[in-house]
Amino acid sequence: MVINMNKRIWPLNDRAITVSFGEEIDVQINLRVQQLFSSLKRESYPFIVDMVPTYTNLTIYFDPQKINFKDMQQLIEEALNDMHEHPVSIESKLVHIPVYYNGPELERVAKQNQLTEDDVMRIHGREDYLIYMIGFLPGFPYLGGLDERIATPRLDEPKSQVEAGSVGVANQQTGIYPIQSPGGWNIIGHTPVNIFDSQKEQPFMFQAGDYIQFYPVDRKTYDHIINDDQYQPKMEWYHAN
Amino acid sequence: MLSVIKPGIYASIQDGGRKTYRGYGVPVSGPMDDYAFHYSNKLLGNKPNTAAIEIIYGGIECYVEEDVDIAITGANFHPLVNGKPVPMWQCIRLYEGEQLTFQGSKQGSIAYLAMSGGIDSPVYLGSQSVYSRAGLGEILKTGDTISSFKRQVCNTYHINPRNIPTYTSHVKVRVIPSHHEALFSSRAIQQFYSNPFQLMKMDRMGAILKGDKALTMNKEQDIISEAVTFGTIQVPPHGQPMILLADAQTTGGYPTIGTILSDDLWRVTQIQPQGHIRFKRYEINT
Repeated sequence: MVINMNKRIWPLNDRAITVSFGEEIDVQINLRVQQLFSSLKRESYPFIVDMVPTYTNLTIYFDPQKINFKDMQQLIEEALNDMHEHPVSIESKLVHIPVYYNGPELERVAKQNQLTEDDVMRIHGREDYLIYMIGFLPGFPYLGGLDERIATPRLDEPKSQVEAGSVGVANQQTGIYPIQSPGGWNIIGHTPVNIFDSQKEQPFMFQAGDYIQFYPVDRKTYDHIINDDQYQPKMEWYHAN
Repeated sequence: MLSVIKPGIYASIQDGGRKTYRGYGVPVSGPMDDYAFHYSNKLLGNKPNTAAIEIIYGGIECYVEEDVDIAITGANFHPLVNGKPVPMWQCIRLYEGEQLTFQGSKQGSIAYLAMSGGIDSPVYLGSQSVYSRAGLGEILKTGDTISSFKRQVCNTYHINPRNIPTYTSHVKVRVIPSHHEALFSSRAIQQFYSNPFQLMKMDRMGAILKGDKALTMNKEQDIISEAVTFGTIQVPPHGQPMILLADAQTTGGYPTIGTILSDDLWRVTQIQPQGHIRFKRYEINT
């Protein structure tokens, strides 16, 4: 099988090791990342401090006082072999995210692609987007697989302030700003859902491997949800091999 | 208890860092110089990784609201109590009504002020480390009060003077080569490991360096975002390297040339602007 043929392992530094399954943004490659992530997480090894799944890699941060690099590498090789023999099932969820499509660049995205604003909304809401990874900002989901018909280059000049909840498009990616930040994405709308709240017991709405579907709401619904502290978006759970 | 009269250039509360949320895009934060940080707590008998005040480039002034024992380590900002110099790298007692002032320094950029028993401040995602960009606490400002959990602890521990580092502005640090190395021209790799780089600017997120010549790539290539860490050296298209520091983002999309060995990081963060860094190739024993 491809699992072992296509992986490379290297040190990121003296206390972190990266396993790479390929060099392109691809659902199958990302699935291997998720499988290794899940299988190591399940073991709750005391020497693994943290793990970062990305598009193609899993980086494992370990405690050098508890395990050395060589043993860590060995353990990963073994986990990969096990994965090969017993495929790991992954638990993930699909989250339905309401969007009020009122973004400052909605018109730009429509014009650029010779569509109407309604077309952009409709196309943006059609897909289930895989969260390949979380990065750039706390809780920021990198969603691949945006329909080419609404793909739009980043803004030439990044804005110094993009509000929390902004839903943006950049090339063939779409994403949600969890917090206010500078940013260069085309903002097509805003979600009233708070996807990062450091005060909550579960501060993050998503993790890598989850899916997001967007659906349009009007101003009234947007205001209603934003004022409802107890609001939880609809979620569906999956188990997949 | 201390109250802040003047916050100086950049002072923030930092503990050992937020180590288990990288997968969610949250930077680790924590001390820029873990060596000096570690000793600031040890001198007071505090547990390792207890929160302390990290002072970058000095300038902070505090009023003592209540007696408290403290230890100051790291760069020598010539701390004064009521205008008189006080020793660093040992426990000292401050009395109500006194004024503690930090000045500038000739060598070193970062100092730690630990307080007896640790600092009482809000915990975000399991850590007191301030990362204001994501609303995880705020840097110190005029009028803030800083309370400690204990008041008197002095005479618990003395440092061996040999363990007090000397800060210099010419350092050589070890670098673990990145798997992107093959994307750089062989001339760039050679330049990187033989020429000094000047530190242009530094904050908690990163340090911008400048070398004599830009580091060139074999060909322009897009990198798929992957994990980066404290010490990772990125090379953006302009060819001048950038070192990610304690508030490093968790993932990055620029080619990287290597990552500085953890034990050497404090030598980099303590360099003053215009100081020089040389890099030495270091292979992890695999």
